[in-house]
Amino acid sequence: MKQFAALLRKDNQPVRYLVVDDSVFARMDITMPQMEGIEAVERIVRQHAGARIVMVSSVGYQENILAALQKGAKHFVQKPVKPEVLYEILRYVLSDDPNAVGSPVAMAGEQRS
Amino acid sequence: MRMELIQPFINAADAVFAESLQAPTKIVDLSMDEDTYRRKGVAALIAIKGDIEGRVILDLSPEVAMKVASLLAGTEVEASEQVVRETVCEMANMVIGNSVTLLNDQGFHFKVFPPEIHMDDTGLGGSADTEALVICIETPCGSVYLNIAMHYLHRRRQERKEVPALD
Repeated sequence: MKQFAALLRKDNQPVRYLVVDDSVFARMDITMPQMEGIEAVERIVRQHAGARIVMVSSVGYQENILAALQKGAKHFVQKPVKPEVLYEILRYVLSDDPNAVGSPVAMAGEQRS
Repeated sequence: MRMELIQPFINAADAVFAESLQAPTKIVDLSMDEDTYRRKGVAALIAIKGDIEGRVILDLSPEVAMKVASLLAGTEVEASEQVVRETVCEMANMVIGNSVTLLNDQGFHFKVFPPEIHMDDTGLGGSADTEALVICIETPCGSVYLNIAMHYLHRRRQERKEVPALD
């Protein structure tokens, strides 16, 4: 598995993320002060085609989920999210195996086998 | 005050705290308030603009916020003002986000603004002369207060569509 890490802030700092080997992993929210999360997804994907973005937001209605995925996010999870659920999602997104456990969208509290 | 606008916030707050703290919560007090809101602890104010407008204040004491932070982190967290602020903001975000999801499913569309933290001793600006519902939720970490003021700005999009055009 490749190593990716990222940080995205919700205060007045610009979107920050870490690029490793031309790929990006960002854990990000949707509502932010200076740039909406979905706009940030589009911008990150434009700059880094290999970006693997997981949207983590408490705003989990269908339009938001679809917009995030259409702009290039790999996954969407609604908060609050259990650590074990988030772990499975990250494992899935970071995996190069298309048959890895996980589905494109996970809602809060969703259990995985 | 329209209860159909308020109920999603109550449901979301109850569910978010119960899910995040992995323990049952209980609404122990519910009252109407028209005075300028005076915070009880650290307050996060979130404004909502769109089909419905208003604001929601989530208010918890620094001690309660630290207990919540430790539970969320799964380990004891060293107390600091920053951790308190971030915890209150994060809980407010989750409550509002889940409320917005419920309201969006009912056909309301609006924008939610990032939380503003209030720690000073003055009343919260914009909360004077606003009829608000104040709820106290008892959690395993202590009391959490929610102050909700919400009203319709326009008729809902669907209702506007249903009005026949004039000849």
